[in-house]
Amino acid sequence: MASKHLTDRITQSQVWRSIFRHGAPTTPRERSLTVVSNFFLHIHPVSIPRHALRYRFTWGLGGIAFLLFFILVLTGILLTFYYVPDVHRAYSDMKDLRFAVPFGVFLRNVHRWSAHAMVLVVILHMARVFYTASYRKPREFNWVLGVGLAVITLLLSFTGYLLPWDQLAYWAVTVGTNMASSTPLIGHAGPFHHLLGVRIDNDVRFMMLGGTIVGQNALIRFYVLHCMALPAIFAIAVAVHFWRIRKDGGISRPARSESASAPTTVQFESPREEAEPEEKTPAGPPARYRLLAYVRGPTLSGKQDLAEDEVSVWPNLVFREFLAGLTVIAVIWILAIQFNAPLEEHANPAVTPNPAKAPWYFVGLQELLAYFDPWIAGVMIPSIVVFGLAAIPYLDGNDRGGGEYAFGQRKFAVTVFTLGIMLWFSLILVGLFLRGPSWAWYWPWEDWTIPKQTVSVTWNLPTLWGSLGLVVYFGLGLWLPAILLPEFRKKLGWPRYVITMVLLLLMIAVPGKILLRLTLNLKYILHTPWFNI
Amino acid sequence: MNDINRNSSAGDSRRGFVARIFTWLGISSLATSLVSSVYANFRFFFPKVLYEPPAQFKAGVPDEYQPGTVSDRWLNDHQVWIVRDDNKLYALLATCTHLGCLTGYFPSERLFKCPCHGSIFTVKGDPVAGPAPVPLYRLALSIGDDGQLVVDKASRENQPGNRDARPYVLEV
Repeated sequence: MASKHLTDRITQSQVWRSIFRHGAPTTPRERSLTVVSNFFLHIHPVSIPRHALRYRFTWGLGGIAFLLFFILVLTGILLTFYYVPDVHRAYSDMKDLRFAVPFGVFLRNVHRWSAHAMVLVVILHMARVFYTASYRKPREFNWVLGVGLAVITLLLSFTGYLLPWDQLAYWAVTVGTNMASSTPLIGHAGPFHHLLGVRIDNDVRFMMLGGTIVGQNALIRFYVLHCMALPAIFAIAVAVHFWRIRKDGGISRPARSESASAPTTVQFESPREEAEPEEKTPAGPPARYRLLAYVRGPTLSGKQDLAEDEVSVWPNLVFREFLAGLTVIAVIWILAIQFNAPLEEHANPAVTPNPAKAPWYFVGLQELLAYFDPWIAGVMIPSIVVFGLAAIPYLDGNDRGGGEYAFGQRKFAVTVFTLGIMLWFSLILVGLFLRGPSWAWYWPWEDWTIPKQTVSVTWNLPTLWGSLGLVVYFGLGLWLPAILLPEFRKKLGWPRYVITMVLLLLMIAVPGKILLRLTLNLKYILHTPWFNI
Repeated sequence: MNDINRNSSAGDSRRGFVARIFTWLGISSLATSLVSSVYANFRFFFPKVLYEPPAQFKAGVPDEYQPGTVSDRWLNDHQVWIVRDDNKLYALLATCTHLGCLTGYFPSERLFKCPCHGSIFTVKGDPVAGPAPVPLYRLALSIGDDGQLVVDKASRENQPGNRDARPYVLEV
């Protein structure tokens, strides 16, 4: 056939072969080469266990999160062509994007809904990795990186929604940076700030805003962070995240099959031997192998046959990723056509909208801030949550139920994590649906236009009782489980036991304090001149 | 030269001595440049000049405020409530002491309420409900040469006692 002949002529031409160094991916060898010699595909191994291919193991969440990040970068670059980070222009540029720029509204909607989706998918991805215990050795640090990526995702969202310079932007950043100003020692409203001579014009909030008010300096700072600094850090961290997946042996699988593929090494010669190559291999060509790394699983290339339970990445995984990617893009496109990204009124320092609600992923934090002093709810609790999440791989002393959804073998870990997630999402639900004007409690059937007249006056525990209560709570909380569950204590060892229990007690204390506020109107358990708990 | 060598302790040749000096010189200059560049980058983020609105503003003559009222006349421009008792006048910063949202005044209850996290303050500025840790701030008041009130937002006080004396309260 002439067309066949032409195709062959093209694919065997010097130009084609200089771009694609392999033939059509029809044989195992060519499929391996397709993956290994392609820059974009080489983050994949050439073959993976059949187990890793199942949708219902990974749900494709990590890849989807990355795709959303990619969409956000592309749409973000396009949006910067019209958006100017100037307090006098920013809002009207948003209006122009909405009404005047061709397809500007679609682009902005895609950017906004992808951002929301990315936050959700990153949370789900973290939950998936937790529930399959995929953070276990040797993947501990990759989990830590993942926690860092989740934090950067939230920071990207936060810096992003100042840019429209609308009411949500202005007041969210006012509240967010005031949280920073309540940091102990380095915030001008935080406990013990006098010790360092910290004032409103030299504290951490001043550094974030570039001034004492949310104005032009703050806008340009958040713009640079959102468009350059944070995406760059994210991209580097995500590259390391992917790299380590490969170095740690691909995605996790049940221990029984993981142990079957013991670590193999890439062939190498030691430097000493390399010094005299002729002597070692007098007849053959000079040695070209060197130690690159120890990797788990089969070696990278040169595989002719697949093991019993393995499938080639091309086309199996690549096709599934393509399908998942198309689905995600379709969903985002439909959302972007159907729903416009919200844009409130122009930023107005003289009016706070009532109620002023954060986006859903921060409204749980906002609800938390109604119960605790800002240095606790805004600084300590988020820091401890991030620390606690990052510490999970190092605290989990259980070695059963890894690489699969085996809740029965990890009852304690699964219960604690699930309770934490549920606590967070119940705060979000309360903040979204049960809070009305002046952040008062309104049931869904109550009318927001009728102001709540009753003010429930708060009170504090006497200092003695408060400090006694805290000592008893943490003392008994640490001591009793060690006595009642000696096995548990011994298995963890003292340092892990103490850290685990302190984190657990803090996690229980949060809803405890919330209930004390909601039922008894208790404001502070411990009230001192310097700080309150 | 040989004398020096002989007097030094074992394995402590002149060359070793010089090498050690250069090692420490190197390490300390490296550390100095590191510390100073970290400091420079840190300091870079604290501007020395700000283009922010002035902290003082004139707020009319005291007689313009009716006894027993909370005036929102300067709320839009300066986020300040002017409160007048029978014969006392004070300026309350409307910014919530919790996280900086603007409180709203509810005349029927004589309370300030914050829309962000539900803090509630009395007309005096004391928190009665919600998370606000300290009372609303009162601002320094004085009478200018032209008889007008001068409100200084840079000078503020919220502790009972201090806030009830000059310059945070003006007898009229």
